[in-house]
Amino acid sequence: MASETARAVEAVLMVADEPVEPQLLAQLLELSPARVEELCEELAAAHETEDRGFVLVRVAGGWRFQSHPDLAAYVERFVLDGQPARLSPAALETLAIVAYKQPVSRAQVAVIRGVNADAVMRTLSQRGYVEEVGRDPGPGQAVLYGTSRLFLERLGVDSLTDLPPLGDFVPGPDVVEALERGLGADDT
Amino acid sequence: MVCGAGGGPAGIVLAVSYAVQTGVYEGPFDVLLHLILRDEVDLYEISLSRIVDGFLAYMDDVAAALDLEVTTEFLVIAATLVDLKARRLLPGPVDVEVDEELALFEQRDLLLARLIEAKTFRDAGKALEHMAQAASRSWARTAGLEERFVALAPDLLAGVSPADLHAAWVRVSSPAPPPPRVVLDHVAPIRVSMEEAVDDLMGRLPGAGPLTFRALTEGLADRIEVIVRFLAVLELYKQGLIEIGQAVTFGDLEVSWVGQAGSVPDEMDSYDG
Repeated sequence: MASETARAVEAVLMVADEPVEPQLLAQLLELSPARVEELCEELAAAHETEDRGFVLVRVAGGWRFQSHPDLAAYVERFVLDGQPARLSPAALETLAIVAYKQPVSRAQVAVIRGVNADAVMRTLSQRGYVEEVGRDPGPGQAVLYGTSRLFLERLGVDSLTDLPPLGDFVPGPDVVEALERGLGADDT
Repeated sequence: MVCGAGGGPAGIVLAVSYAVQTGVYEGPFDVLLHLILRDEVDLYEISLSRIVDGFLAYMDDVAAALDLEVTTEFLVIAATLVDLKARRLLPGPVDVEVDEELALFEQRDLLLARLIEAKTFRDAGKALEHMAQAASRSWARTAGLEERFVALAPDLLAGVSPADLHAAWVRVSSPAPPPPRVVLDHVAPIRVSMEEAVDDLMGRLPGAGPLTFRALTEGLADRIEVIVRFLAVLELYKQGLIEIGQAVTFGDLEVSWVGQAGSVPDEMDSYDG
């Protein structure tokens, strides 16, 4: 079948329970990270072609085996701990703000949302989706937050750059017009 | 949900529509976005007047239940909206200060910008949810605790040997608690000894005639020293070496030497501390 190195990659990734960075694989196999990436992509493509029940994906900065989404119904029944609870719209909005504006303080998040953000940020922190990433150099030394690796995993994204650009979500002219009208800004 | 259609006081109709709402609004932007961008409302039916009325009606309905911080946010926005509406109602640019007008427009534009931003992130949040849902259809191996939990739970049995466990069991199962001990180690010990007090008395009493106890304790700083001196006096009295007299009730004590010359007090109990 495949070369010794390809099989070694498969073996290591099979045992890992979180995404493995290509640099680590490169060290283990004494290959260059570029070659590791190549190998992983080849493997991923091969699994796809062979219609396996699992996929090799790049997520949160590393490679990992995951069950194929088509078979979610079966895996669901097997996985006993169930899905993590869904996030409320408020939490999702807040998470979006942190994701796109990080590093950002709680106060800044509150200004954008128009409401106090403490409770929601606490929830997101507890769930592990946001974490402290630094301090504001200004007065008060406010804590700055950013999204975590778990956040990337949960969204199935390799890195923050893989998030859709924020511009995609800026409301179109019809919405803006409606808002202008609503505030009486359409006359003067 | 009832839509404010045609005639009738728009404010009242909108107020009724909120009574039907089951959702909870997360703040003034939320309310405004909903008011302005509701699906059934035609673009041309959106009017500042209705928006403001709806906003104020919502505040009336809900204000009591909101906590102070959120209420303040609402009030600030409401003030701007009311100002905007009032300006609309003015017949013309009469008695309107340019500065005030500009300030009001600034506020309005700022509010508009913030609403746009709020809508942007609301939609972004929905997109993130879709991504998360799609990603949740694919599971990874989770061996053991998730990373974030491993750090939280300390190993409670770290460094515990079977001997420790045995000792713990012995402690638990042993019958009597240890007797309470009044620990006085922290009390600064004043080293006053009976012997010293007796020596002092022996030095002063023989041949000195009657001396008052007061004189014998003159210059002593601590009360404990006086007490020990008194005990020494009693001890010497017990041994018959001195006589104690008190002429008047509560009067001074007179201590007189009656012992033989050269007599030495016997061994006495010593009081420690």
